[in-house]
Amino acid sequence: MNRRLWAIALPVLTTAAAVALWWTASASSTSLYFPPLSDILEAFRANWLSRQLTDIVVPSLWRVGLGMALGTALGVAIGTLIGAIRRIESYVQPQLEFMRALPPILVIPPMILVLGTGDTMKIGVIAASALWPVLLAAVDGARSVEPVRDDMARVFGLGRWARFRWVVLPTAVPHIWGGVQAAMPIAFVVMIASEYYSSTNGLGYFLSQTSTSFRLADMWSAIVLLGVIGVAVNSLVAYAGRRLDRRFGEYTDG
Amino acid sequence: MAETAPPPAVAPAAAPAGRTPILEVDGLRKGYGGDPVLDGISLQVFEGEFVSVVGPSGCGKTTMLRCLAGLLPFESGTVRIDGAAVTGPPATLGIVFQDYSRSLLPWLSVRDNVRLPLRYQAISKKQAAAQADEALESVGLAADGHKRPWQLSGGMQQRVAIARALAYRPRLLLMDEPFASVDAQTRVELEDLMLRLWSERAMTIAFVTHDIDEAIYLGDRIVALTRRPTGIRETMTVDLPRPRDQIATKATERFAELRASVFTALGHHEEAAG
Ligand SMILES: Nc1ncnc2c1ncn2[C@@H]1O[C@H](COP(=O)(O)OP(=O)(O)OP(=O)(O)O)[C@@H](O)[C@H]1O
Ligand SMILES: [Mg+2]
Repeated sequence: MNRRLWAIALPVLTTAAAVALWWTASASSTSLYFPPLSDILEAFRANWLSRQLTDIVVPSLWRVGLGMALGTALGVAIGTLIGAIRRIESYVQPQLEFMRALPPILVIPPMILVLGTGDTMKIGVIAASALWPVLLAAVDGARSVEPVRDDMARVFGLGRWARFRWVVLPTAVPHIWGGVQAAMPIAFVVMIASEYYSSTNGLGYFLSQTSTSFRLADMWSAIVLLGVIGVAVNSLVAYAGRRLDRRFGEYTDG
Repeated sequence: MAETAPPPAVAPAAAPAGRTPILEVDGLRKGYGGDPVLDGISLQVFEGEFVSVVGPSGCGKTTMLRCLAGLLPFESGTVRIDGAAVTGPPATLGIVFQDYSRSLLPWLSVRDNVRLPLRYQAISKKQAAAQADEALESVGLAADGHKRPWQLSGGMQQRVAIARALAYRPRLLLMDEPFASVDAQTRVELEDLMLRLWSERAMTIAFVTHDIDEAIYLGDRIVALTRRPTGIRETMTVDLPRPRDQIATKATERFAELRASVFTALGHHEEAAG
């Protein structure tokens, strides 16, 4: 009981302490690059507790959401296929390792060439960066089917599709969600990067505008907002992961 | 009248009732990577029989069942079920696996586990539900259909696996050491459950075990395997009357004799038997 209370109170307290430290340390700051926290919060209020929120933030979130959805769908489809058909796997493993080793933002320049600089490109690069972690996790997941479950499915007359639907996919779900969890921060980085140079809206655009025109309190307010969104999204994904583990995991006491 | 002529007799060489082979294995060989495991297995199982296959741990019992079920390709020999050479799992075959908790799907409820094989059969949803419920009922789990497998004890999980096989209505049921990892009390209950289910249904059972008492108690016939490379050591008829009883049957002199001869067949020494 007390322990649970502590588990909730402790992060709140440390966060409060960190904010207080930032506040006092920056209170008398005259540095152009590190404005006082009070200025940043004022900018935060002006920028994000206003109509700008929808104009700037919503396009970014929409791009991340759609890009993640596309990348995940593609990653699951290709990954489970590769994992389920063991014969393909050894052939494509080197290529997968190669793609995994490339930093995700490397795909931006070629994607600009192919898809232009519009939304298609931005959503495309986010999808491409989310694809790999999800795909590799899906391969692992589909591979980890218990052999006796495969025997069971075949003996009881389940065809390929039924085996995929009832055995392979459920086995892979917790793994896939791990991939989504890994892909999410990457997708945010790529979203900012793709909006930074070519955009007329979005958080990346806002960051580039404010930093190049030295509106640094505004810039910092966007960084704080990104942090808040990041924490919220990650906790949501982690919570969903725990629910999926409970639904599809082997042995739970839920 | 012409009708007084005797009815056309069944071909004289035909097997008597209950002697139609449902499973015929001839010269089955299988190894892993050049290491022979099964070295010429030949056996027959007849319609309606309960055959126990006994063999020491690791001699290849699971390997043999997987070959018989068409799950594992083998090097040479033939396996026929209902007269047709086995190339993949036949529709008339069900299995209760050794590793019951892993053979069940934890993401489905008990009832859905039992219904899953029926989804892909040419029967109506209603019929499938009825078959699944009847099977759960017959193993005493009618009230647990909504639970997930991992909420049940080991013995109950194995009942689910049995119910799944029963609902599928196989003519031939292969059981791979199904009771090897449940406690003694549960094991006794499950053995009697199997005997009851077998007597109620038109089902042939090949029951693999490493437990000699279990093999004798359950079977009409015992097939004793050798150590690896594995062949058939001996086939024995169990002439104990049915219905069998855990105490009375096992107390008979004949049971003790059979036990001794199976022990001998498996190559145990006198002291090992005692
Ligand atoms: N897929 C495999 N690849 C290589 N070797 C295997 C494989 N499966 C089984 N074996 C080996 O074949 C032998 C027989 O295994 P199998 O599982 O058929 O025996 P078993 O009689 O069922 O054993 P147990 O009594 O432990 O269930 C063992 O030595 C095992 O290590
Ligand atoms: Mg085995």
